[in-house]
Amino acid sequence: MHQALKNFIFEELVQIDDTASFTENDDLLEAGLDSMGIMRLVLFIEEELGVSLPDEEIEPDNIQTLKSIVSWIERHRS
Amino acid sequence: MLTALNTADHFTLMMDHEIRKSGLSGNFCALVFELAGKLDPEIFVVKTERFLQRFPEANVRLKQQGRRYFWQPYTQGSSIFFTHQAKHKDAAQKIIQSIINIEVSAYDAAPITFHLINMPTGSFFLLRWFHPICDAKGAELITHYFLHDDETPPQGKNPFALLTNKWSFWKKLGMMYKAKKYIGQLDQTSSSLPKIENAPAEKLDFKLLSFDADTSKNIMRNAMKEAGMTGTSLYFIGCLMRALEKTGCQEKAGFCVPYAMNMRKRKALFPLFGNQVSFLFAQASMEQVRDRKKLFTSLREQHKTTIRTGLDQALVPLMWAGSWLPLEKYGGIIRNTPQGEERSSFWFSYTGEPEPQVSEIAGTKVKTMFQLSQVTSAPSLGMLVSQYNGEITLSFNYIAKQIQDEWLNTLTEQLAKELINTDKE
Repeated sequence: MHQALKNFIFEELVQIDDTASFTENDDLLEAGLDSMGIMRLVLFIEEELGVSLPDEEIEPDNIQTLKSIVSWIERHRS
Repeated sequence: MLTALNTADHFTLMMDHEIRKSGLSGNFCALVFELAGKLDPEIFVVKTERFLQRFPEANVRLKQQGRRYFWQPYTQGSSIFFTHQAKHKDAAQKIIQSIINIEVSAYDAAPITFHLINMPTGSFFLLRWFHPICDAKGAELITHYFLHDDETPPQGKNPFALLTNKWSFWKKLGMMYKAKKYIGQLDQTSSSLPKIENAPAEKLDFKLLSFDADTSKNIMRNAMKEAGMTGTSLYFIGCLMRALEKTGCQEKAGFCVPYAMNMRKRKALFPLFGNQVSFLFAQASMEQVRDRKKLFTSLREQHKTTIRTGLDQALVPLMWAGSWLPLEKYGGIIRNTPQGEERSSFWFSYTGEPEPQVSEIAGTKVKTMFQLSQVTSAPSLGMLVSQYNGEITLSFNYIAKQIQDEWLNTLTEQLAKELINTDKE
């Protein structure tokens, strides 16, 4: 899941030079993840990973890093 | 050598045609920085020379060949930097107004010009661009590379082309159908318009409404709470819908607002020139507009559905198909419903903080920043939202004398209440 998420983010949403050195604690919002990107990411998680995420939880704390996204997904896995 | 306009450039060229048809100067926009001190124009003369050496594609003119439009190098050597003097801020604002209202044909217009307006105690630095050459985020990049002539711009790939090239012909056809159906649904609700006087379009005028850092923070907090992390644009749009309804407008079934969707990946290595935008619509019935909670719930849901169903990108092939039509026909289809009514209630843009940030210009501190854009008649009103160091500035761009000052003043007061949410129900 972690790799699939990372691939989607760097292929479709954010462009940075060196994805290999981008760690799970690096700031995605700072790297350029914008509002449309966040919406696409949430829909990707719903459609590809089968995890439904509540709209009201789309907030910086859950989106900021790869680690926080994974933890957010884990909390909603049934 | 000729460079073809991309699909989004062609869209903004079509809007140039529509704006001129409204009796105004054309699709000119501006990025304006207010500075704390005066500046020596000589600094910019040198910067201009270096800029044109590094970016010869900025010194071009529009050329039509058959149905297509191109940029061709301009060899007659024109200046793109101008200095102006103003005795005070009001006089400087009049100069800014005259710069955006330049009267020149689309084929003779310099696509990029820089202007310095010196006052006794401060100055304005302005980049005016002819919209087919670039979008607002591109204008921020151009400003950056104009000011920092020692920096080499990244040689990125065109994200707009990268995206559209990967769609097959059949996929594009399917997307086009989807987009056309979507617009057909929008047209079932006729658009309310601002209060427009029956007067010929005179020129573009503007009014600014700025908020200090604390108030801006409060507004952004409200936006997050009511429209969500992905809905900042929708918050401003929704508040303006409500302000229009409360101030009194040409009320019809609801509001329909087109807004730009940037197709650049943020912080990507992209080219400086060329538009990279598609557009979306926000729509609400009058019943929804009158209930704040209902309005933002509906706008949020609409936005999510738009992305989920791929309607945002579906409009791109529709724009591509439009680029093969004569400007007159394309403009009619985009702007008007089949019943011949104006589709848009007002124009809207939100660009957030400039990127890269411009904290000083030639050693002088930047105090604030705002944008300007010509609009069509109707709707005769545009609201452009900028942020600089966290402070929000709203730039109302309107057609004098179709929009009256008194009505606009009431509207902006009402809008401030909506944004800060002091006018609770």
